[in-house]
Amino acid sequence: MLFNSYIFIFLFLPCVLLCYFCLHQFNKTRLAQCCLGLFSLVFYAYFNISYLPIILCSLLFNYLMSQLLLKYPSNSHCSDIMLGIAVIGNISVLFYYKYFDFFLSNINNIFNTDFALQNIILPLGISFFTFQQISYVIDSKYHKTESYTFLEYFVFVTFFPQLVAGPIVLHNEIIPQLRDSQKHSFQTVNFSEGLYTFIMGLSKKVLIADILGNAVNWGYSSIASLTSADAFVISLCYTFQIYFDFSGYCNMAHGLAQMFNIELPHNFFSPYKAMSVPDFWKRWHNTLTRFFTQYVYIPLGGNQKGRYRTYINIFIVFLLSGIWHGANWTFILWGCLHGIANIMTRHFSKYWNKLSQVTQWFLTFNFINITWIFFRADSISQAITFIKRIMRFENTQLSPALLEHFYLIEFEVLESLFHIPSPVHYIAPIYLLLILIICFHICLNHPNLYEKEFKPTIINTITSIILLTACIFSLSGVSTFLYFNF
Amino acid sequence: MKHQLYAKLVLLGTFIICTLLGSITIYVDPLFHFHAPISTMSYDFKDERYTNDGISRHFNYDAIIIGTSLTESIKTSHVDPLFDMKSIKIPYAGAGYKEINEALCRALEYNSSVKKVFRCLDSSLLTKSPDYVRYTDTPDYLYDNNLFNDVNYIFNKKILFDYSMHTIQYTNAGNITTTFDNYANWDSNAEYGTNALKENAHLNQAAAIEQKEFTENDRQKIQQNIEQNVIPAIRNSADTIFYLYFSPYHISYWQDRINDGSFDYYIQAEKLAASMLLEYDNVYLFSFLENIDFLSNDNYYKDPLHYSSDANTLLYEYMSEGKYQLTTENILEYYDRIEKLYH
Repeated sequence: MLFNSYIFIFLFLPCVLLCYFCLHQFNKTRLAQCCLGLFSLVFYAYFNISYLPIILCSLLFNYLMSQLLLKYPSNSHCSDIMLGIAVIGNISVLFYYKYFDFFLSNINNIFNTDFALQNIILPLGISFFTFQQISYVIDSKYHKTESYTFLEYFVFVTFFPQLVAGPIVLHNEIIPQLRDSQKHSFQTVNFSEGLYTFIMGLSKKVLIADILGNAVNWGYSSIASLTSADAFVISLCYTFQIYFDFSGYCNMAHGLAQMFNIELPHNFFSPYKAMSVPDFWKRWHNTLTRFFTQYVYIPLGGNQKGRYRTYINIFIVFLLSGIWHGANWTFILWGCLHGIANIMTRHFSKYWNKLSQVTQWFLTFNFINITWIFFRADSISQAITFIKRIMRFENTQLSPALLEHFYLIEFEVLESLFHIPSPVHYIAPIYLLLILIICFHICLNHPNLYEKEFKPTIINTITSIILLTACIFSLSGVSTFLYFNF
Repeated sequence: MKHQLYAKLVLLGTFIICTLLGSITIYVDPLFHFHAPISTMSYDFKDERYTNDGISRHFNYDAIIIGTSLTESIKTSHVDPLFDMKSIKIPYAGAGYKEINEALCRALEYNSSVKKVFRCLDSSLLTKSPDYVRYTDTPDYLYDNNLFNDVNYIFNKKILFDYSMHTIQYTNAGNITTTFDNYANWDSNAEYGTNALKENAHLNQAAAIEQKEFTENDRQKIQQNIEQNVIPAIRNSADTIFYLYFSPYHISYWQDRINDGSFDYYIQAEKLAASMLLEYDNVYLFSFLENIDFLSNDNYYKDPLHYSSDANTLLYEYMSEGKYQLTTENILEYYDRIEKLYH
């Protein structure tokens, strides 16, 4: 089930809120938690019912291992073995579902073998709930977890706002909140703040990211016909698409959790305001950075073992981050590039800090923009072809096919209302520019939602109504069929 | 402002606006999903895959004309008098047999009083996989009776502005509802003749080295295709006459097949399909391969596949007179003659 779907907004969310708080109202705490967990499973299984056994087995396995780990002293050999089994078990499952076909296809390429690909369906969110549980079992080894009940553990892992796309939460961030009786009653302040945050997130996703996504999909499916201007615009569109998609999702997750009086860790802090690549990674997907820092970087020695060992550790973290993002060499290269940029910035920090802020921002933003091309492309060669298109500077005209994607129905309605004559080829570039300016403005000038306290006013009430209505009416579209006279 | 007031205003305000805007679509119903056209409104028929199901649900008719883009140029006002019928035309450009079968079965379910069905069978799609579909993102919510997924129709800004509001503006501008003559019809904008054919043809000049073999696999695929995607409607509507005709492609198309060595393959395919269809008493089957005058009249064609409104009317005249009809008695002889005629 997606947050941006009718069934979620009209049916699922009202039902789960009602059931959860009604059960708490009757002091049925365990039933309320059970209800929340079951609804979360329904949310997950709605994508594909075959995901359900996978997450349930993963839950049972990790809970069992964590209980065993709590019985042994943390420095015992048994404890080490148990942890090894738990971590390897989790990584193996992740490897099988996410990386096995990638592994096989590379073996076939390198050794000229003919192993058949399994075409394994990737369970949604497996990277997230696997990492979440790995952190839990590691903490169990060091007795940093209490003996939580299975029900509490179950809700902690499956809590639907963060189940499929994070943030990667820690047990001590969620379970104490589930236990807190003061959070068991419906709180209007939290609900209204959550509603506002959810609407902002939904708007970012539906009204901005999805529109940019149409142009990006077109661009990447027709690279050969792109002009340099097209390619540059599409690279910017993807940079903003992924920003608003992820930021939107984080807002929605945060807002939804808040409706249940649960505070999720913030995952996103205006990353395009970053002044360097290390700064970017302090703002983008913080909980993933936290996981790698806590469970990979620090155990490898962090920055305690000399400069060059620090650089190696940083590179390993970014390599793993690239691998985590997807089973393709493009993600691995993307991760490596960020690792190298991170290291270079640290190594040459003396010179970097002498640059003006504008220069620092400009270089950082363009580095992020170019490396996102690898993230989006289907292959490294496609990414390189795309970059070459930009670098050639051979044609600065924007293709009509690209501009069409920005000739939105909202603009058509406004033109019609105000009787504005609008030859498409004149007006569409203006709309494109307008959209890009809005994107830049939101990314660079707008304060982060979490930076200021939400205070309901008439303006933000009206804005919320307009945006929520616009989002509801944008959840479904009309497909365009290209008829080739068959 | 208090938080409670904010939450109530947002939820209530959104509910009211969504209801108001959604009501416009429900009332106007530009795709005829809920009700027949309102007599005081004029409707501009747009995308086939969005409009056809509604037409078959709520219009008044006793005959159906269905097929791919080859049927788009048909003028119902010309063909209806030939069969004394009141037909609807529901073309699905680019569709495979499966999509057309599903649409036809739905139409026959909506309207059990259909007396005649006219379906053009594209020869080139006969040998596709039985589950072949060209488009996957069709508006399936319009094709079922599930009220819940109608939210995709009611709360859809494209439908609201491009269809519902457009219908209101279209009516206010004094236009009339699209006729079936004009619906999806590209005839008046098309260029016909030898030049048009040359521009749109892709003739394979070099002769094929090998003839394309008609394998057992092909046989099974065609049998499945016909069994799954043509026969169900015939079988379920025993009182309805099905006028089925193989698409009369231009002679250059068949020349192309001879050149690339696949002519016999396609004739075998057509013959197999014909023999299966002729088992049903309510099927009248037609093939125009012998009508060289028609197939080589460049002025009928805008490309090797598509023919004009007049050409379509002529085909329906042939069918009304029983010309070029295949029967169990003449089918074998017919295809023998075709083999000799084209080789």
